[in-house]
Amino acid sequence: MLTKESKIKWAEFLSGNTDAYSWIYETYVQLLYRYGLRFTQDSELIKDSIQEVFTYIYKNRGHLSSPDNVKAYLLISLKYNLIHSLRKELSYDLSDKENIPFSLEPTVEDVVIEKERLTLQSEQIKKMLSLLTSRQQEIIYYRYIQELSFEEICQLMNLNYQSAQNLIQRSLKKIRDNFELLLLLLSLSFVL
Amino acid sequence: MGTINNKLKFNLDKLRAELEREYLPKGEEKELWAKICSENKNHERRKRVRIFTISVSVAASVALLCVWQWNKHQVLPETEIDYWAICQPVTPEELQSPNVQLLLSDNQKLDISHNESKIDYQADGKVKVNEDTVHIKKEGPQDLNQLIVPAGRRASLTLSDGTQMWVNSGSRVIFPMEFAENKREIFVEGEVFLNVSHKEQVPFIVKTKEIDVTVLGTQFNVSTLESKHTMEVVLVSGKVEVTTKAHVKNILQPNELYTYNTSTHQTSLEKVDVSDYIAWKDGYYQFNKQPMDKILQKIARYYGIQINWGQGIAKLTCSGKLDLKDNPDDIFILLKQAAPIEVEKVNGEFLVKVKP
Repeated sequence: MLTKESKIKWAEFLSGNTDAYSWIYETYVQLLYRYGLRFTQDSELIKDSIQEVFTYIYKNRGHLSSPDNVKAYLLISLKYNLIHSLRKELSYDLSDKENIPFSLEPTVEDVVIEKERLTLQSEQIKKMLSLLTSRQQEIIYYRYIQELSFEEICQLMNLNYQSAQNLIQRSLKKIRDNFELLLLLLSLSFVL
Repeated sequence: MGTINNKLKFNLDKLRAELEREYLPKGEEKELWAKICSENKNHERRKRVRIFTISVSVAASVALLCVWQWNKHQVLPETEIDYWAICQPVTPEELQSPNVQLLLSDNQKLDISHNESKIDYQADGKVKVNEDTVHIKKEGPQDLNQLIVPAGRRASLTLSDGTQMWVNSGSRVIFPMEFAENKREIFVEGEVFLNVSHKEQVPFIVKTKEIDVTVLGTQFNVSTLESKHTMEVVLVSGKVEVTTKAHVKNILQPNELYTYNTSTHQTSLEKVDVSDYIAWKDGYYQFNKQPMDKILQKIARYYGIQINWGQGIAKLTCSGKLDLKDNPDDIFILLKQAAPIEVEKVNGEFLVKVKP
C-alpha cells in the first residue's frame, strides 16, 4: 500500500510538486531516524545525514530515476551518508564490511522507567541479539523488521544473492541453536 | 525465505515494537525540515545567480534591465527576513573559532580576541570595538550584521538606537547597522539579556527560531537552549508579548518566566527570582536550590566543554554563586566544596559522580 503510494508521490516530486516532497519527508523521517540509531547514538549526526539525503534528492530531482521501493532507496542513501560521516569521525575503513557498527538494541532514554518495564521478553531479545554479529543483526533487521526483498538487502549490504542467503540462514541457525537452551534456562530459574 | 519458528517470530515482533518507541521529537523533526527547505532555497538562489551571470555575457543591456526589475520586486513589498538563510552561509570554521566574530554585510569580518568584548554601534554611524573605532564600509544603513560569541566568551553590544545587549557564550545575534524608522527587529540564537531603549512608536521585536518577543521599552532575558528543547523569556521590568510560530500569544508581567517547549509546543508562565536568570551578564551564575544536572549543563555550555554525569546527580541541589571568570577546573573545586561529588577528567571530558 505505502510502497505504491510512495512511488506515485516520488513521481510527482520529480515533476516538481513540493507537496509530494514534504509528504516523502513526513512519511519517512521517523523511520530513517530510527534506522540511523542502529549505526550511532549521535542524533545530530543522524539529522545531518537525513538533511543530506533530502537536499541531495531535491537538487538532483531533474535527473533521478524512480526506485522500485522508495523506502529501500532512502535507507541506502542514508546508510552511505552516515557511514561516510562516521568514517571521518571514527576513522574506520569502509571497505571492511564487518567493521561497520550495527546494533539492534533499542536505545534507552530513561533508565529508570526502562528498568521497570524490562520484561522477560526484553531479556530474551537481548540475549538473542548478543549472539549475533553486527552484520547478522543488520540482515535480520532488513529482512524481518523492514521486510525488504533479498535484492534490496543485497544492495544495502553490498552482497550477492547467495551470500545474503547464507548470512541470514547462519544468523537464524545461531539463534535457533542457542534459543532452545535459553528457554530451558529461563524456565529453570522460575522453578527455583 | 528461511523458516522461522513462532517463538522467534514473537520475539522479533517484540523487538520491532521496542524499536518503534524511539523517535525524533516533533519539534526537531520540524526544525530539520526547515533546515532542508532553507538549504534548498539557497541552492535555488545560487542557481539563479549562475544563470544570471551567463546572461550577462550574452547581452549586458538585457541583464541590466533584469537587475533593476528584480530589485524593484524584492524591495517594494515588505517581506519577512529569512534569518535562517543568513545563518547558513557561516562556515563551521567560523563557528569553531575561539574568538568573538563580527560579520559585516560586505564580507568584512572582525575577529575580536578579548574574553569580554564591548561593541558599540553609535548613533552617528560609527562602530567602536573595545574603545577602538572601526571603519566599516556601509552599503545600506539597514544592512544586517552578525555577532557570533563562541563558548567561553561573552560580549556586550549597544545597538544604534541605544538598546544595550549582553550576549552569552554560544550565542549569535543578527541585527541591522541602523534600525528602520518604523521597526526595530533583531534575531537571536542562544542567550541574551536586553535593556531596550524606550521608543513608544517603534516596537522592538526579538525573533528566534520558534518564538517572537515584542517589546515596548524594557529589560528581559531570552534564552533558546536547543539541548533542552525549551525557550525561555524572563522579564525584569516593563511589558513584553511572546508569540509562538503557531500564533499563541502570552503577555509577561515583571518577574515572570515564560517557557516554551519546542517539542510539545506547550507554554507556561511562572513567578521567579529574576536575578538567578540574569546574573550571567555580570559574570557569575546564581543558583537557588538548582538540580546539579542543570548547573552542569550551564557550565558545559558556558565553557564549551563536555561534562558527563552519573546516576543520582540530578537529585543533588545546589545554591550559591559561581564566578564565571575562573576556568572550569576552578569551578569544579568550588562545586566539590558545595556538594558531595567527585570529578574526574578523562580525555579532556569531565565525569561527575556522586561520592559513594
